[in-house]
Amino acid sequence: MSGVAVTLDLRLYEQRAVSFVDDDGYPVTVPAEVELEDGRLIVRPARGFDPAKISGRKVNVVLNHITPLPGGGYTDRRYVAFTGPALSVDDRLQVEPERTYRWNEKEVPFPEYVEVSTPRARRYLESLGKKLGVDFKPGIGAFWRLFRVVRLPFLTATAVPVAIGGGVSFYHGAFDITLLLLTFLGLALIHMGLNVANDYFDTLLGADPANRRPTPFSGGSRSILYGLISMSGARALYTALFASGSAIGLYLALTRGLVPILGLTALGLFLAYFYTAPPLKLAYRGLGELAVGTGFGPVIVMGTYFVQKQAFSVDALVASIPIGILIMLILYVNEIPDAEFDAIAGKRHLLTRFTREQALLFLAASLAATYAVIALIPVLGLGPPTVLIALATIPRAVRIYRGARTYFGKQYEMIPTMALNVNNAAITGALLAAGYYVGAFLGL
Amino acid sequence: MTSLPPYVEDVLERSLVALLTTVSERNVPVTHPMLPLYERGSGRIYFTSSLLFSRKLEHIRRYPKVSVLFSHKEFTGCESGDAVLVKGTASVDDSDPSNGWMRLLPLWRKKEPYIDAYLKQRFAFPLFWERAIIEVVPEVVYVWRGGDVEREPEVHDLRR
Repeated sequence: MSGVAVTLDLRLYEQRAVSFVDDDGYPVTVPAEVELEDGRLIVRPARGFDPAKISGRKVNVVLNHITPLPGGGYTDRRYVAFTGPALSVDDRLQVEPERTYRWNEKEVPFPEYVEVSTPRARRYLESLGKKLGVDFKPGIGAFWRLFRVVRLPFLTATAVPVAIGGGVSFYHGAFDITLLLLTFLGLALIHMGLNVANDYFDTLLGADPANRRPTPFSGGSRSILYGLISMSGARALYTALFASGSAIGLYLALTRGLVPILGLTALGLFLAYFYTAPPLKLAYRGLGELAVGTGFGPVIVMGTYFVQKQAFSVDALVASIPIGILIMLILYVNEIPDAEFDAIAGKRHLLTRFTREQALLFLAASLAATYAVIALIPVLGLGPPTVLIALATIPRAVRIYRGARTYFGKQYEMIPTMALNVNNAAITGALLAAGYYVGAFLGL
Repeated sequence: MTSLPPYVEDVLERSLVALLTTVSERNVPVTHPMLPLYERGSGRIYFTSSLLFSRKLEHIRRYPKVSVLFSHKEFTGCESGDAVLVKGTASVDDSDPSNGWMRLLPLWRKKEPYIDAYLKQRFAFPLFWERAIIEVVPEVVYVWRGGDVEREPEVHDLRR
């Protein structure tokens, strides 16, 4: 009886070979004719290697395929190997497979293959490090390590709402570039602290390790899993980032308005830390999207505005809504590929609670709300008509929706849509901010 | 020491994929399709193995005898169709997994010209680029001329 059922289309594999350990102790792999017969592999090795001599040994039958590329190299890799005892029948070997291993990059894309193999590489590096007395870290250089650990590109999600808060304030006649940059610096530090804390707790709670198909936009930074930073290093780093961001918040509170700025800083820190940290772990309870929308919308925009103007304003509050939604949607769209893995790990964000149609409806409604609020700003007299320039990204929003609809649940195919969505938040937010600055210049 | 005929070196040098076979701790052959890098002059065959797929490295450390099969035109890139089996002894160099293997980049680049573009994105797959070098010293080489496996192979014993 065969231990492993052999069902495959042999025509898919051009290179066929059989391996065994020869009398001289060397493993040998020879070209072979391979056929399937009643779930068994029938193998005829190349001349020079007598099947009768191989009989009784454990052999490895390997079937392999590549597609060479015209410019060099190859693609479309797939192979399958069957291991089992071989019995000589006539001039052939009858192999009953006991074990099999395989890879087909169309079934398991290369990034996923790499991901599932990560623990092996970590163990190897740790063992090698102990042997050589070296603390091995992947050799990508200090800048790229920092780039990944704190997720530098995502700082646009802080820069844009700061620019909007500054823009509304500028429109209202108050603007100090030094204060604006200081505000951005403090918030960027807290945002980076959020990113590192998110990795720390998602690793601790199992959400990131459960994710076999991370992308550049989803599945966390993987910094801890790849050994770019240790758990204790991550904890120390997010603590330092939160502390330094808070110090700037405290300075701004002392100089620009103690209670409001201290209150907003505390709220921002609370949302940033408990986004994934127990016991609240908001992202695990379907509250992460609200936390992100609130933090990157009203908290940052209103905070920035207050630092400039030393007052709150309905105009700033309304201006914070579109960017809050758009940054929330960065998280939301990036959660689409994560959903199947997050559900396993108990990270029950909105995407794990919605059906596909509900998820797409929420996306469409959120995008529509974003542009509706922007359109209402001049209508309600809460800002200049120049903010309407931000509506220019509506075609992008339509493409985002279409992309999400088409590639929903397909992790790697979703990447262009996720990229478009991140860019849309940045561009729409930047245009909205520009609308206030230009409106002020034009005296509208 | 006997050297290999040019038609055999052509196959070793041009092949896109070869089958490297190691022996597991249970004395079972385990075969890995890999990109071979042949260095004319030294006559050595090299592979670089990501530490992600490091089981073969452990096999070689425990049991350094290996074989490498180059067969099928699609894989060897040689019109001759010659199939070549190399029996040899392998060693692993993982003393500098971040950079040590880069000395083989010129050979690698000839096989996969796009490799530099991937390397520029190293931060995307940091552990994939942590690699050990496998060096195989060929000892006995079997050649099926024209890929005709019905004929007895030529045998070149390089130990003589």
